[in-house]
Amino acid sequence: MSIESIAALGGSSGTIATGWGQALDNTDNAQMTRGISDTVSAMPTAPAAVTAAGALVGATGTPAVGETSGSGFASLLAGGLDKLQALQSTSDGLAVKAATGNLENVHDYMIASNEAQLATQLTVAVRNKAVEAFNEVMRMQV
Amino acid sequence: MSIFEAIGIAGTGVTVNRKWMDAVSDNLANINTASRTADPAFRERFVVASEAADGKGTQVAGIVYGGTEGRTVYDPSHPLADADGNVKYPDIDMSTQMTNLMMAQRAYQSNLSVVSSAKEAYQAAIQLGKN
Repeated sequence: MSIESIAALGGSSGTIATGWGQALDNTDNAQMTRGISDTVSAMPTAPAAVTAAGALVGATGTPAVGETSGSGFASLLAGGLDKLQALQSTSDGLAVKAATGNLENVHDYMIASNEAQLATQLTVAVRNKAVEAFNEVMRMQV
Repeated sequence: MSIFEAIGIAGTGVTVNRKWMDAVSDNLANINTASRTADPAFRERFVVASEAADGKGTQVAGIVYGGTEGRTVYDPSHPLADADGNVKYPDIDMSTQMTNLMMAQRAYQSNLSVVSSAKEAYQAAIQLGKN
């Protein structure tokens, strides 16, 4: 969904007012696509790795604490992914508005795309940390 | 908007100042709009800002309009002049409008500075997780 709207933006920016289309082309396409390609590669793997890590923590001898913090982290990450999805779709909606000339505030779209970019970076960082922790536990000598 | 609150709050400030600039632009565009002395003159637009309803940022509470009296100018050659040769112009002071425009523009820019500083700060925090 995200990538479609970016393509729409790139394709139709020639039809909207000159200055407007220029600014959008220059500043945002690169950032947005970078953010989105990160997400696309990151999203499917994250929940699996985390549940595995959670289960492993639960199994290594601190039952009560491991159990609660494991499920807590999984739901936290799921909530984070939902929020990221919401920010991305807000940004997408505004991108379509910008491309069709219905955007009321220029800064609304710029702010939304920045928020989506930050949320993506945060999610990717958390996912990488989780995978790193999982690998660290897997390398442990028993 | 809850994670990156500072950016959202600064965004509301940008919106309010954008509307203020719109109002100033409306006033300046109509500064030479003449009307018949019997008709109301163009009414100056004032933007009223208030704290946002949810307590996060600011919002435009409403637009207040100036008086319809305007100022009467003697100009018998004007097509809208009445029997005494008077027409009515809106009572808008250009220097006040230009000052307002500068304030609105600076406030707009300062709110955008908050957005970019907040973004840098958040990115620095995210950078912690990358190493």
